[in-house]
Amino acid sequence: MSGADVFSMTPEKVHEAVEVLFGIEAEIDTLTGGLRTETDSAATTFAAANCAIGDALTTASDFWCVQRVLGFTGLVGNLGEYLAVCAEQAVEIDDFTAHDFATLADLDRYPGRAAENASARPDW
Amino acid sequence: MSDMHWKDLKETDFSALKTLADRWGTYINDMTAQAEIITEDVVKKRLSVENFESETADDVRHQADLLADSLQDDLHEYAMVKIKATLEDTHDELIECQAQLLELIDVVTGEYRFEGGSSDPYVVVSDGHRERIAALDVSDALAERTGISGFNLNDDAGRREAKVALLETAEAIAAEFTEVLKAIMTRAHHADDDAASILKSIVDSPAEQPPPLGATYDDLLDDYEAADAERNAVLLQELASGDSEATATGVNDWWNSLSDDERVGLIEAHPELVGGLDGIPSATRDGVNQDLLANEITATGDRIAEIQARLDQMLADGSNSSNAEEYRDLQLELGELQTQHDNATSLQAALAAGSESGEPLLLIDFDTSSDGNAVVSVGDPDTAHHTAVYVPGTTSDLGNVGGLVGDASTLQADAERFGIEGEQTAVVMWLDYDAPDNAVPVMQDGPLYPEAWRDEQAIDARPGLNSFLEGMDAAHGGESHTTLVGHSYGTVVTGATAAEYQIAADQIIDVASPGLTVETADELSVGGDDVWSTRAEGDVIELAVDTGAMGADPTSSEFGGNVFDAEAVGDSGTGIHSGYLADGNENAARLTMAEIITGQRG
Repeated sequence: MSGADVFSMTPEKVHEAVEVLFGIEAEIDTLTGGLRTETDSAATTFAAANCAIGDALTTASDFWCVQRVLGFTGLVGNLGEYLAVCAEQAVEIDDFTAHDFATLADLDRYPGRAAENASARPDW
Repeated sequence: MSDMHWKDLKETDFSALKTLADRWGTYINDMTAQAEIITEDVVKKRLSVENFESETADDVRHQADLLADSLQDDLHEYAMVKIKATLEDTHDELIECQAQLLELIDVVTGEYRFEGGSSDPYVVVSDGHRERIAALDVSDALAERTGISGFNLNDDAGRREAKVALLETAEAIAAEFTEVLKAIMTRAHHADDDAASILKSIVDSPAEQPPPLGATYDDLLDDYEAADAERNAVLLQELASGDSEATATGVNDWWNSLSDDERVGLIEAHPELVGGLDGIPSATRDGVNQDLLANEITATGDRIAEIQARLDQMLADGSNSSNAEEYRDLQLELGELQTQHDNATSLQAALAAGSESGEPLLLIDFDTSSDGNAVVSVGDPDTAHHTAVYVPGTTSDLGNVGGLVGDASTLQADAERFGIEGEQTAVVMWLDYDAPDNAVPVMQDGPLYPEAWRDEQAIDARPGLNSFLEGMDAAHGGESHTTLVGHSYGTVVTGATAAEYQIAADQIIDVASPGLTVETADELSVGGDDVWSTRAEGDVIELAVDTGAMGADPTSSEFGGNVFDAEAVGDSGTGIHSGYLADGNENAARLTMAEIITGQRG
């Protein structure tokens, strides 16, 4: 646990952490998208065979691939954006919104994560 | 509700369920790798205290750890247990139903046909079969069952009666096939409905996810952490009660995904659940169980003294007559507590006696009620190069647990003595089943056959032994070299388990076995080449072997396993039966067993 008055940062390392987190967010999207396609395909097959597991698989797939994983990747993205603002501001940050990322972060550092997308993210 | 028709069961490719389960398995591994990147690459490296130090940095690291933990918990609870395991179980069940249906179809084809919908399938005599019956052109089996030889087929009346009788028999057979078909379809519908129920339950009360960083983070964090601790406690209870679909490997994955604080919290809140759960590391279970055992001895001792004082008082003031019901209840409670207390002290004494080689004794599981059960390891099976799991036989209980642990200690010391230098061996004494109390018939309103003559207790022991082996393998990182050793009825347990499950063991040794419930060694999941059997000449178990009640003689050449010699140590059949690991006995079989256990044979 850091002391109350301590603040030190190597901005480059924090930027790297942000890149890793955004990479994880993208990788999980890709992994989950592929899984969802295959699960839904199997669900359709079993539903056509009058198996109850068909519809149930769709329910489970929707829950996991949409609700649960999107919740998680949203939090990873939120952490990355928070860190990106930390790296630029280099001060303690108590409050944070997606708008802060859009206006304060070094957006050139994160190609593909356009400000308009970030600001469209709900303010948690 | 499952609306699966028999045609659906016949034609659907259920291997797609296994393929999908494997796909989820790959996905879980890939996602776990992402969680590890967060903890290893982000938190420990790039955001280390050297690179980022402040209160904000502490929050960020904490949040990153929470996210990784949350993802791993989710992967275990939802992806692994509720989805992947359900797909696997359903696949196994439906494939079996499909095989039974195809077998039935094969039997009935040409003579009978299936009718009805998904909920009321039935079998009828086919048109072709009716025509053949009308022409008296039927199979020998149908003719014999109808008793066709009793009809005079040389006149019209006799032939008419024969046709009617044949048709009635054919319809009776169709009714029997209907029962079989209904049983198959009911089983398939249950499997389908159970799977659907588990999969749909995934949306019930989903666990909280960590709060996002921002103004309200600190306020929300406490609530989240309290909910997370509760979630772990609920999961633990489900795992311990068997309500969860998770296997012992899943338990190990889940336990490893918890933080140290979470593990300590669960141990403090629910030690009895942690101590008994296969898949949790042996050293952890030992610490928990040793405390539980000591507490139980104290608690039962205190309660015994309390009850005894009350009984003495009631006897002295005569209230044992006026309050006869209370007096009787207290006597019953005292009896049960005394058994429990005696079992617990017997187990504690066995643990205190230590091992022959000096290796520590680990109390991996125990239950002091009734005859009592215990799983005690000489050495740590999670870290040893080689592990043997020794299953004792008839009359084994906590009353003689000292001798049983002594047997395991002898096997372990032999393995250390004759094993490869620098390699450790652990030997687990596994008595987590209700071993038969007797092997000799007694007279009680006619002959009463002893428990050891039946395989029920071995059958009941199978899931527990399989789960223990799987948990031990998982706690060893899936790389343990394990030998399952049985003695006497313990070999019936090991055989029945290896015949039913793909056990997490590399080889089996059976000593003085009445049979392993199979006819050939190849029926055991370790494979015939890795089954090793021995029996000394004059061992009383020969009488049981000769009955064939527990399967073929494992020392016979027809059985197909490996056989090794044992000397007869003892002055009677029963003495020889108990003499294989006797003190001071340098039986050649002990050297062979040590070499097998330490991987020097085969």
